[in-house]
Amino acid sequence: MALPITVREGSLQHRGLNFGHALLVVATVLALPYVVEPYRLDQITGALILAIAAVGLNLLSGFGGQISLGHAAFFGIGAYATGILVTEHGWSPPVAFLMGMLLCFIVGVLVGLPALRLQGMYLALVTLAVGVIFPSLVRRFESLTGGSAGLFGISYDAPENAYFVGRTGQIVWLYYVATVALLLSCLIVWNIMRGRMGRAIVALRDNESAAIVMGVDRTVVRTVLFGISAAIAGLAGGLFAVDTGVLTPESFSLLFTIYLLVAMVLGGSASYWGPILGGFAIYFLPLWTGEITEGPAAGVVFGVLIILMVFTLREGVIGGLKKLGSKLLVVEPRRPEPVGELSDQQMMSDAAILDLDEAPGAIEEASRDVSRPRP
Amino acid sequence: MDLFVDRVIDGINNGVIYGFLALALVCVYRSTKHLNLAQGEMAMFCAFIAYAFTKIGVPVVLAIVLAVAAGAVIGGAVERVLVRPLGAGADYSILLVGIGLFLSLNALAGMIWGGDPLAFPNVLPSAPDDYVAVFGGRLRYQQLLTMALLAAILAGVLALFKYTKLGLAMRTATSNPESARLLGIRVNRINSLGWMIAAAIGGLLGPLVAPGTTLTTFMMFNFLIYASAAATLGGFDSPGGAVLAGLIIGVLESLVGGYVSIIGSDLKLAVALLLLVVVLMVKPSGLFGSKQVERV
Amino acid sequence: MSLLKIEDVYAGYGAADVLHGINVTVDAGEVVVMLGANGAGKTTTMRAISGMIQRRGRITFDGHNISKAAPDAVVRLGLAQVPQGRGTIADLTVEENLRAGAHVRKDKKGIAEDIDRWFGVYPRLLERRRQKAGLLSGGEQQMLAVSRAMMSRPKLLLCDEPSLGLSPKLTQELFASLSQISKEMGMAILLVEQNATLALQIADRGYLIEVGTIAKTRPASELAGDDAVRAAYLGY
Repeated sequence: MALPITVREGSLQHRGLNFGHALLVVATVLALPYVVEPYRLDQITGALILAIAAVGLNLLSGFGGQISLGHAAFFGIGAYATGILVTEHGWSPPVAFLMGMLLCFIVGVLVGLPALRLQGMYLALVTLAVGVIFPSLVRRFESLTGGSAGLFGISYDAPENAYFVGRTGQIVWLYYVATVALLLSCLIVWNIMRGRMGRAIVALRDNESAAIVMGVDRTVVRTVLFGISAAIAGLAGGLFAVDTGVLTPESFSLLFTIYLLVAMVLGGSASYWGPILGGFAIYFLPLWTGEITEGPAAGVVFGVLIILMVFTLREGVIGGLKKLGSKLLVVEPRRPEPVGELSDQQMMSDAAILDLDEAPGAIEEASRDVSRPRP
Repeated sequence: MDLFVDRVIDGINNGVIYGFLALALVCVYRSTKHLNLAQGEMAMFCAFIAYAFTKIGVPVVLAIVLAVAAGAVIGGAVERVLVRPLGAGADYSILLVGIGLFLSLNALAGMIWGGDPLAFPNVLPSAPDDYVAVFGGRLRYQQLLTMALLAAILAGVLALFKYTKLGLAMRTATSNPESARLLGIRVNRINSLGWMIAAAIGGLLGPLVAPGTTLTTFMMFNFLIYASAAATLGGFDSPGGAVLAGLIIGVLESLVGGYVSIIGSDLKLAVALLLLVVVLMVKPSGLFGSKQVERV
Repeated sequence: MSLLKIEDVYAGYGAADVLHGINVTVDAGEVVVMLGANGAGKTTTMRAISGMIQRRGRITFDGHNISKAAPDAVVRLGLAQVPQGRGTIADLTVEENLRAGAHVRKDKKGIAEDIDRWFGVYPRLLERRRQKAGLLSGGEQQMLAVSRAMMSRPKLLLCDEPSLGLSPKLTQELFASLSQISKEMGMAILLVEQNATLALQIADRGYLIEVGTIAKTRPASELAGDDAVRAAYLGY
């Protein structure tokens, strides 16, 4: 069989492949607890949690095209909300998660409001402000958050079930919780992106003025996007709280936001699997570089690795994989059905002359947008 | 009243540092329109290089000059190797490269010089008696020197952009690189120059500031945040604005942190950033930044 | 000896070539027009000459081999371009745009004289000399683009679709201006256009470029009368 294999979209083979793909994923998820060591499963759970945060960030930055240098704050809000509600008020964790998500949504929308007026660097700095202020606030309001000393004893206990016995059972339980949460997050993102909202988001990202002129409500779309993205990060934060059991403000510093950014871009932004891969990358890479060398050298290796990956994997790992994949399999899009024959009169004449008297530079602004000059 | 003056002077001193680093950030931005997240670490690295020179017996002033030169070399190398190949519009990639560089330089300095704080000598005498009395407060000689140098460099940068042919070429290259090439401007060289100037400025800041704050690998991290805030507040393409904003942030945070006790030292940075947000709501391009000329 | 000679040049973007062995000559003082539809390779030719893209083949200008030259070397030899879309340097003022145009020159007095001269030719620019160039109208930006390119006192001026976005009246004025400059200064012009009618009126010779190669080359008057050209490019 000659490579690449071509498959038509919507055909039986295509659907079969998709089904097989999904089956493989489900099988892997279910099999993992039986195949790997408990400590490794615990690590995977940690990575899954970071992946959820990355998915949240990716919705805003990858799909939405808006920079956020402060997502650690939403992660933190979700974490501390869960932590406080569970330890001080005895709430059950899933409800605490939801509360955290709601809180994050509101804060996210509030942060999104300045975003309406700002672009690029300036927006980045505002989000940076949010990210930097958060740990300070946590330290300041010690009585509530435990301050620098930390908030302890957060847990999400496995239900009474022969399946989840002992420490290992607890690990497996959290693993499943994390997987379900990741699935839900991805579903949320997928659902948004394939609907009207998704098209509005992409339109705003690629050409804001055109999108507004076509009726996209910039205010609603932008702020809601921030809110949802924050809420997903908040969910990850809540999970982080029950997984690690202890919260300190240092975990939510600018450095964490940096890690999230790295996750998003390394994995491949504006994709579904990208942030997941990215989450795993930022969890495991520092571990591995720490295993290869001691102390500061690990930092150098990690930094260099990031730089190398920027150069070699421009579209993130996902992009690289997609390129490889396209050598094996190509999905041919469905051909659109013709509606009817066009008459000669309906076709535009080639020699139409542009008649824009003293047009205020409109044409050249438009043609500057085109990434390639017309030959 | 004395406390007030002390706080103001304290604020100005910090503000000078923020302004210095912000100036470097602005120079990079005005060259290739990027935010160099590693600017602080590059400055820190130069401080360590100066330290290394003093340890082999080089006089302090010469060590600093060498550190500045090293900074220029590092800046040019970074532009040539890490920034230029990524092409135009690779904003996220550049941010990531900056992050990678930040982590690497930080760790590298830790590897070479160890994690313990080191003592870097002052350029000017800094015994308890060496100060200038100002309105009842004390301005140390070293601090005065730093201020003077900042003012001089700012003047130099402004003059470069406004009055020289090279400055015009730089502004052309930043505004429209394609057209600049068609006019015979060597855009690549000019971009390199922008990064070199920025890194040299950072390279001067590092050794000047090290004595006051002790030389550690973490000294610049906080400063970078403040400097970014200052550059944003002032307007990313305005050198004067960035320096002024740095001073404003420094003084304001010192006064607010000192007088408003709820704030305390933890939230000082928060205050500065809140100020930033408020200003940006009113002037989205910063106090002195120019609005993007965009006709649709 | 031609001023500009392009022999068997191949060029493109990325993997695909747009020019497949193109041959063009321009003599000193001539006005030559290159006609062609979208995608034929007109702008690619312009960019190849100025050294903005990778190209294979041989390009000589004023006796120098510029086949591998960088853009700044080309400008220094006396070849300037008015790019497609004007290439206005939006953040600089009108006057600064002109000064930038003289980048390759060192004679301060001559530069100042030339700036005054072009303000004389285009008084509208003089009125707006301290305004940011990005705020000018299309026609004004076109005038600025031409004057800016002329500031380097080129021997050959490349013009890429200068009529784009201009009304027919402005286009006529612009072309008349170009023709006059060429005659007064003995400067050659290589003009790329879709608007064939007006362009052919000021040209000495014309090339038809189709899919990356030259389909025809004739004196301009012949092209104007050629039926095939008329149908394809003039619309009737």
